[in-house]
Amino acid sequence: CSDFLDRYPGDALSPSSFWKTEADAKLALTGCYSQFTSGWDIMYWNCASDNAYNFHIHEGYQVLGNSSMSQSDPGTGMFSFLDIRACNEYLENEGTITFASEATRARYSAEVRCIRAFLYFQKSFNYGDFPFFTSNFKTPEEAKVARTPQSEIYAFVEKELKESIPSLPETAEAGRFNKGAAQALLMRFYLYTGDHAKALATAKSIEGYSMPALSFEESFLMANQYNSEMILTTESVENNYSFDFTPFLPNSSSGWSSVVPTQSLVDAYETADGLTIQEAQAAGTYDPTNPYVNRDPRLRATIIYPGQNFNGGIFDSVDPKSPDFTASANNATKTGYNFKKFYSNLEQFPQNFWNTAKNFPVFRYAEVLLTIAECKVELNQIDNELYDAVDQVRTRAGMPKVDRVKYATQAKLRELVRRERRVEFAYEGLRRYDVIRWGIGEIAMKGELRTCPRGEVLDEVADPATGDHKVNLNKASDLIEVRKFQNGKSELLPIPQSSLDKNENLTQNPGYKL
Amino acid sequence: ALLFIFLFQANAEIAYSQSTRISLNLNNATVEQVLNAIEENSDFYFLYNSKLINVDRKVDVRAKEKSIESVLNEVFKNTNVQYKVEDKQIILSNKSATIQQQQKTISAVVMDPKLNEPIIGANVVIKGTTNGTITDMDGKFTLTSSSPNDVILISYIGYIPLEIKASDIKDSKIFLKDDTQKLEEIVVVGYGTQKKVNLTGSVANVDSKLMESRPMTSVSAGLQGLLPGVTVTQRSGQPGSDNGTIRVRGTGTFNNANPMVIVDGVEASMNDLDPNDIQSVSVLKDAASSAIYGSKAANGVILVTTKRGKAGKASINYSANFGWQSPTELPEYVTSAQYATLTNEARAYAGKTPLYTAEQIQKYADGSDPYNYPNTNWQDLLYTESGFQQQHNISINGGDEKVRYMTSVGYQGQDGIIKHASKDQYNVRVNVDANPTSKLESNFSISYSNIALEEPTNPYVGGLAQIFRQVNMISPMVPYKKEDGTYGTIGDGNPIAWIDMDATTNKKRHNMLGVGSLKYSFLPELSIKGQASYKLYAEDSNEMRKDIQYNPNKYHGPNQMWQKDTFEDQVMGDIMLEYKKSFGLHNLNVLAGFHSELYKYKYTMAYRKNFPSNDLTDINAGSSDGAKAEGYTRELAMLSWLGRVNYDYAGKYLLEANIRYDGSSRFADGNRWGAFPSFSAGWRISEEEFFESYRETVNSLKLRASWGMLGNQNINSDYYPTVSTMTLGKNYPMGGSLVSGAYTQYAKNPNLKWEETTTYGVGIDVALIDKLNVTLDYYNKTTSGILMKVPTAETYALADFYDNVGKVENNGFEMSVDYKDRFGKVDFSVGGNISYNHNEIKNLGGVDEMIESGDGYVSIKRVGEAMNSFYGYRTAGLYQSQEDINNWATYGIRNAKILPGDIRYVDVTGDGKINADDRVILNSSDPKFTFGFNLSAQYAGFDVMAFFQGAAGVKGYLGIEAIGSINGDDAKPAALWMDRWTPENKNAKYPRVVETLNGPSMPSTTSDFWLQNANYLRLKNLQVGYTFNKSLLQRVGISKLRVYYSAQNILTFTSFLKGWDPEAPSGRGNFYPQTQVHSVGLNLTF
Repeated sequence: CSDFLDRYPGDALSPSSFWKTEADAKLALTGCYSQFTSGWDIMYWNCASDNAYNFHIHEGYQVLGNSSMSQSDPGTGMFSFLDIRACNEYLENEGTITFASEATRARYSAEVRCIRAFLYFQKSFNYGDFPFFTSNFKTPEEAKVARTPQSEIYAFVEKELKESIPSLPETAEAGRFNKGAAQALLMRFYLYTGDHAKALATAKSIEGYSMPALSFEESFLMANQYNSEMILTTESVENNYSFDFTPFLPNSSSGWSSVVPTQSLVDAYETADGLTIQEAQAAGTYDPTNPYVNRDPRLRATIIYPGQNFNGGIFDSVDPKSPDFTASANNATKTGYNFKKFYSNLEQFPQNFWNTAKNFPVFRYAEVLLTIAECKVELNQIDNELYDAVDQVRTRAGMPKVDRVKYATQAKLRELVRRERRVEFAYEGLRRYDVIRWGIGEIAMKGELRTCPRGEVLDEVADPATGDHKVNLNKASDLIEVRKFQNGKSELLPIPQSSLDKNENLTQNPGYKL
Repeated sequence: ALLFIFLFQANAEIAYSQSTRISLNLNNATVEQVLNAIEENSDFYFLYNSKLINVDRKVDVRAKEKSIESVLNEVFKNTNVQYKVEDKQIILSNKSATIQQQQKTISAVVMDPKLNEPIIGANVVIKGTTNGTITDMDGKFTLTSSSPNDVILISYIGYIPLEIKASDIKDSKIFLKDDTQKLEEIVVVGYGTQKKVNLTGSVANVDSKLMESRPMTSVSAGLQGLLPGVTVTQRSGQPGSDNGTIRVRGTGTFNNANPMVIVDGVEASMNDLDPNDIQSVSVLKDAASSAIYGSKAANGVILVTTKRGKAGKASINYSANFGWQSPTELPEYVTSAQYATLTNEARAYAGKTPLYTAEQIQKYADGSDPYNYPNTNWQDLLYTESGFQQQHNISINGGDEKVRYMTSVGYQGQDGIIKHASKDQYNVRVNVDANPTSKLESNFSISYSNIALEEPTNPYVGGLAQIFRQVNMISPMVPYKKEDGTYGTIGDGNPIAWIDMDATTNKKRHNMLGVGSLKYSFLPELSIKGQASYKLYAEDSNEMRKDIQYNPNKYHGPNQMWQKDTFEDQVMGDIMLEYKKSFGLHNLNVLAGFHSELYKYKYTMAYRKNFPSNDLTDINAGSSDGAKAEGYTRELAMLSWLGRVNYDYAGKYLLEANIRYDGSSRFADGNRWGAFPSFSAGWRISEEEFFESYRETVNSLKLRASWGMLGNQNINSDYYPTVSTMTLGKNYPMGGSLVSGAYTQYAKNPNLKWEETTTYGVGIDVALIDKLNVTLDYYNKTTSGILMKVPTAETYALADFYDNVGKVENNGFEMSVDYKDRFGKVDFSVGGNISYNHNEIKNLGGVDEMIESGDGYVSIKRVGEAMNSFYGYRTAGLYQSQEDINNWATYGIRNAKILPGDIRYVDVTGDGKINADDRVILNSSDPKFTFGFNLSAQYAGFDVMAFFQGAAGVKGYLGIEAIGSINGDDAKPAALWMDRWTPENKNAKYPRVVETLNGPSMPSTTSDFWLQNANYLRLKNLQVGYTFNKSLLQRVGISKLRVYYSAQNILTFTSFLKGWDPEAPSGRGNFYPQTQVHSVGLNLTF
């Protein structure tokens, strides 16, 4: 009788017979990677900064951008632990696995520890003190732990990364941690936590990468996505693990315009000769009514602006008859701009833009260079190494090298390096971290967010090479929202009410308590 | 003339003649009139030879609550007529006539007592022999009997079979009795049947007349309003998806709250049945009556039996119904010109420039430039079809004493009110019953249904809901087609282009149920029965999403096909031992049994895309690049022991006890087995001696009380809730190719067991003045150990930690009343039922509340409140001025600007701020009251019936997609927005307009402002029929013909938002509308 009543699923593994073979280890390791990070996270996270705006409120990023996130409406956060749990599960159980070589065991463990360190670092940066555990809870009751101080978590992250680096190979399959990726993570950790000396040393220890001999736009095309700059990328393959660009494309290309650039980001790009637009306007080389010509090539490689020839048509977000006009369609960009980095042409995707094998950089060499530059600025080591690092980035972008006369002081160089970092990594999810750690929230993320200036796209072609049209943006912009970043509060995300309800030992971050 | 007759029949167990009291008041009436009056109003029937008995003699009869004997003594005093009462049969004879005991030839006319017409084709046999005949065109039969002790059995469909001794048959009329005698009503209960008068539990059964001749496409929806304590909600009118959601005595669990459905003794679905095949539907509402079904019965049990063969002449029945459907309600939206005006107005509030000039608005209004300034009515483009539907059923019924059969074939065809929505259903059923010897009885049923469903799909995200959603949302300013013939589009495409593409999801469902049983009676009081059954359900679903180039700029694709196959089967076996015995006035019935079942489920999916042509229909034609395959199986095994004891003393004191002991594979060893007991008792007060004097007015009075415990193991979709596993499919690409991954994702709790529902209740059944029946019930149903997803700290990290912690209480009242009378030649009846249910959450497993986001609204589960409660802000009208705003609490809900004309939310906490803390419970989407009532009348072949049904104390919520908004091309405001607040229209019903979805006054902030009162009263069915005169029909060989007009849902009284049906599901409004149906039909019997 009891046999008759014993029934088991045929589509899931039993933990009692798992954790034996190296194949088991690979399955579980892959499971950890599947929760690591994604192009989706990377691109949407821009909306939590002054780089982008998220109109579709249900996606949960709008409140992060305008700092109205609250205990009851926390927006899209990262107060989740299944990712960390999977890593803990691996590390708790890998001891029973028989590996052919102990080096493989050490490598797999190091990869999982790097993933877990990345997750803890990212979450703890955004929430401050954070629930922390390295062995999984057996019951829901014992899982009701209080938040661990951020400093303790940071110490753990540093220790884990330092211990993992020696076990990792120099090169690995795309998508997996190798030595350079772990070092880059450690470098970023030091930079974000303000330890410039260690960040500089770690950055300089990263070897084997270089800026590719490609233009900025080409560097992010499918064809070149594994270039010499890429240290660690998130991966996609067509059909079964594909990346879909629909949320990001303009309405005229059947997209949703979920993540759209702000005017403030557009304005951050220098003119082609290395002047800020304010400097160029004073010099008479910048026309605010036709603002997109003669600019840093990274502007055109990153952003679709009015008059640009994109996907076989002229993007015209200022014409009320256009599908890209702000008010005429729900999926039209609400700022007047769309992003295009990673999908600057749609023909590169053989299956179509909703089924691509596009990867996204988690760490690339430009970050190493600009970390070297930033650290040296902050350490006030103004020397050739600093300028060379920035120049390598600018040269690839097609910009003139740094004017060493104009940018000679720590203050001027800080301004330059920070602007360089913003435009170089625009749309790569780093901006909010930079705004927070630089303490510029109330400067960057407070006040009115407006559309691009209104006006019209002219028939006249501005650039025969691109087919872009001239614009005459002589009318006022429209208000989108009023942003309200508050120092001392908005740097950290609120712990969601639903999480507080489930664990009475959790405390709220300052300023969010109801 | 006849003044009145009271008849009171109290107890069927005691001889009818002893328990029946007659009141009679006749002046100057013939004896025949007196006898007819007694026959018409009682179960008595008279057998006599009119040549020998003078029935034209005039008499005066006065009797009050007298026995039949004393009435007859009065009628025949001073005559030579003698009578003999044998239960209900009374034989009149002449004292002087010698009764010929050895008569060889028997002859009589078989009569229908009501119509006073002969019954043609009635089966007449000498019991225990093959010697039989049928009645001729005059209802007459002649048989040769060898012994005066022969028992003649006369039967005919629709009548109670009559057994009569040969010696008692004279050359006379024999009246058969209609088998719909209310007081003798037999009710189907768990593992058997019971006389309604002997019920101690709460069992409701459907008056089958209320299910007949309706344009019914779903059996579950057809039960709406028919049963007290049973709430049925029909959310959709889509062919094949219009089933009702059934709740018995409220919702008792957060999990699957559907009642268990038993068809012909086997757990099955009722929705694939042909309604014409249904004989009876009863609902076991309390634990006492359903405990015999144990761990699956906590949400009530619905027992459906199908028609079975009756001995007698074979009869062939054909019924047909032809109907036309239309939506009960369709939402109305603004025109392009209105939309443009509202857009400019909204932009002005935000300090933005107008988007449309006066000339442009004029062009939208006058339609002079329809391609550049369209005014598309998307609703009109979608709802284009007449929704023709038809039903046909042919059945053959007949047999003899040894073998009886009922076999039927049915067809239902239903076209939708939109293109490509249809259902075609074929049903076949064979029911055969045989008792080859007096000790052996066998029942056999096999039924098969084949249902083909079609619905349109789309290349955007697929599914029908998306089509309704887009039609509700897409702006009238988007042209259906542009001047060049290409489609107008928004980001999501064009919903009418999808309809034009002829891309569909096609499903084919096969249902088969075979039941066979053999019962052997060792002794008259002891029997054993074995039953085996096999149920099969297979569904083959093909969705082909075609690709489309709407216009040069807009493409949706690629084309792709999903082929999904589901195969379910269940094998069940039962062994039952039954002992039935009377010891004097003590009656005992004991049942013991064993049940086992094994359910298996298998799902397989194949997917390909990039077909070379949209017209290809097979998976092979797609590209193997990107092909996917999925599949899994599930199993559920159960073993059960069950027992029941029924005891009554003299039909006065009734007792019943049940026990079921269930073991289920769903739970781990240790928690696998559970016992479910129940007890109930009844007291038929009216059978007591002291009650005798009241019987004239209170014909029957019974008190009932019950207590019992039931289980629910249908807890979530997980068939293995205690088996810990690592979930596969957690893949990730490495080095350009996908690698398989796994981790533990779901929590498993080895201690899980079933939910336990304890029900107690009391009830009263009253029959008054032989015309009025009233049943009242009070119940309390508490489900504890509700298996629910316990809120766990995020750090536990595993999803769906279930535990038996929740508790919900339902209590309520039910009442049903029916009244039948006759005024002159008009038969008239009124019936109704009303139920009140109070639902309260008692425990949520450690938290006080759980706030949940619905589809466009917020709801809450809170201890002390009803389930499915809306949760939001209270409102106090609209702000009329800036001063108003300044004097009110500070708005802190959304990052939005508040202006005059916005909704004023109430600061419930009084802290000067309006924030999430100010939200309150805003009633529930579960009705507190449900009711139904019917009125019917018959006169000279005409019949009319009206059936009303409704709900009260119920709310609904329509979200922003239904109400509409100003949001560019993929939104449009509903017509209600024309009555929006403006500085000039301060008395407006609706707030000022706002651009985007995020306005502070939009329904996305759940509040009582947008909460809809979903009370309604609906004329569910109206029927007018005519039954042709029998004698007329007999000439063409037809024994019965009725033609009728029947309409469904034709009238609804509600204050729900105009344009939406009150039964509409809360949320987006993206559903197939409820429909009304006008139909004509006929029932024909040969």
